[in-house]
Amino acid sequence: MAARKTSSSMICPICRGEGQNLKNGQPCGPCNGSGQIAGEFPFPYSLPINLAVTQVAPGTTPALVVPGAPANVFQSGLNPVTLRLPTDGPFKWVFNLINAMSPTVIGDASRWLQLKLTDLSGGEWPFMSAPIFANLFAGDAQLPFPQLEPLEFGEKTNLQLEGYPVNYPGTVLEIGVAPGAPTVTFAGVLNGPVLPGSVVITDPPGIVIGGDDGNGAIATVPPGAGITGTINYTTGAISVTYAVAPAAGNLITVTYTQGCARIDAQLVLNGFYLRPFSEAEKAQIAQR
Amino acid sequence: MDPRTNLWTRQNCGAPPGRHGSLGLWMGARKLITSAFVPDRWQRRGVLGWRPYWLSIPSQRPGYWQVGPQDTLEFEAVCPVNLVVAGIMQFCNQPEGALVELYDVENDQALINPGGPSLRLANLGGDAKHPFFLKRLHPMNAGNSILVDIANLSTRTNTGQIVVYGFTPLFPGA
Repeated sequence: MAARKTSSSMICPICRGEGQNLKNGQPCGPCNGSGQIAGEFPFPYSLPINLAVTQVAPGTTPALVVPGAPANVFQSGLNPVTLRLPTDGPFKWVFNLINAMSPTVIGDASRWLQLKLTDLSGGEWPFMSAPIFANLFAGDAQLPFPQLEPLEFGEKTNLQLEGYPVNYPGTVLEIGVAPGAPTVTFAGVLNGPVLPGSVVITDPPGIVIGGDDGNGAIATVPPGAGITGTINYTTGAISVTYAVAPAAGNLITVTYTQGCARIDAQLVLNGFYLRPFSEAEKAQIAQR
Repeated sequence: MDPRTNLWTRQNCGAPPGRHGSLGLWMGARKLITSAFVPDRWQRRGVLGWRPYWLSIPSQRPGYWQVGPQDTLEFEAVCPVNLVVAGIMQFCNQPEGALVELYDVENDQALINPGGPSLRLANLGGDAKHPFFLKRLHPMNAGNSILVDIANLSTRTNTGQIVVYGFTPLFPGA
């Protein structure tokens, strides 16, 4: 028996409103036996959210530089920005994509970024107890995270997405043992990316003799004629040159923080937008 | 929440059934990206309309643990909501990985064989691209504690996180 027709539904074109399969008498599949289907069409829809995180120094609040940011670029760190879905219709979202776009990021940006998603509609409702690594939250187009029950949002949902850069401090590399004169240059490769301003050089271990200036140069601390050198923050290649050869047997050690100076990534919310059938579409379905 | 928006309750909107219709998964024409079991659609009917939830272990900010070179760490993670666990994911930044032991405090039950060899972290779960789903949904009550022991296998500081993926009723603690 056909259900009551409402303004948002229409007669099922498969069973013609009978509610059952005309061949075998079983309940009709598309309309669940109601004889009516919702007059809405699931329209694929993707909402990209660009992330831009710039860190100035380890251990400090991330500074955010988003020049000319479009409306959906959010800031990270301690200043989460509320996103408002740009639609009036009910949505069903499936989170399944995050991409690293920046050439300044080595490897997968999702290793260096934590995300936390909160629904602010009708009271704060977190989707996670703490920020989680982006690679545990989103896949990509080839390997999407298969939500068993996707997120479902109603009209005018307010989402808050927070992003936190992840650093790995205290990473140590010994770049050489001083043999005495005449060797005055030591080189090595740190595990990049290296957070600018985080490099500390000790000789012997425990006595700080220098560090980086945040712009790729190695200098003595305090400034003097002790050491010079360069560091590539992306590859981790470091070179330290002594003005005077260090004492034989001294262990030259570099302590640094692994982390990205800048993370550019994109989180895409893939889902469906339920668009009402147009009158033309209703007529077309009715003619089937 | 408008039930009309739930496409999963609408028999595929008249479209041909997906390749994994028996599992009730919306996965297009691709094969399953995990070799693990997935709770079937009848089990998942019990959580239909519930919201997905990611329980981080540790459960508080910053949400990850850091263990020194070849060191061990023990901590408790508290589940803040009623949760039905569907899958587990993990990450650590050192390739040598870590060993992990889990203990359910409320039920006084070891979740990993405590007398035998410890479990490698990579064997505990996958990641978002290769998630590890349990065969059955596992309920966890709000306030449940999980005791975690981590042993770093690397000679460098290891940073990592375990994430339990599941479903929760609409309101935390409900």
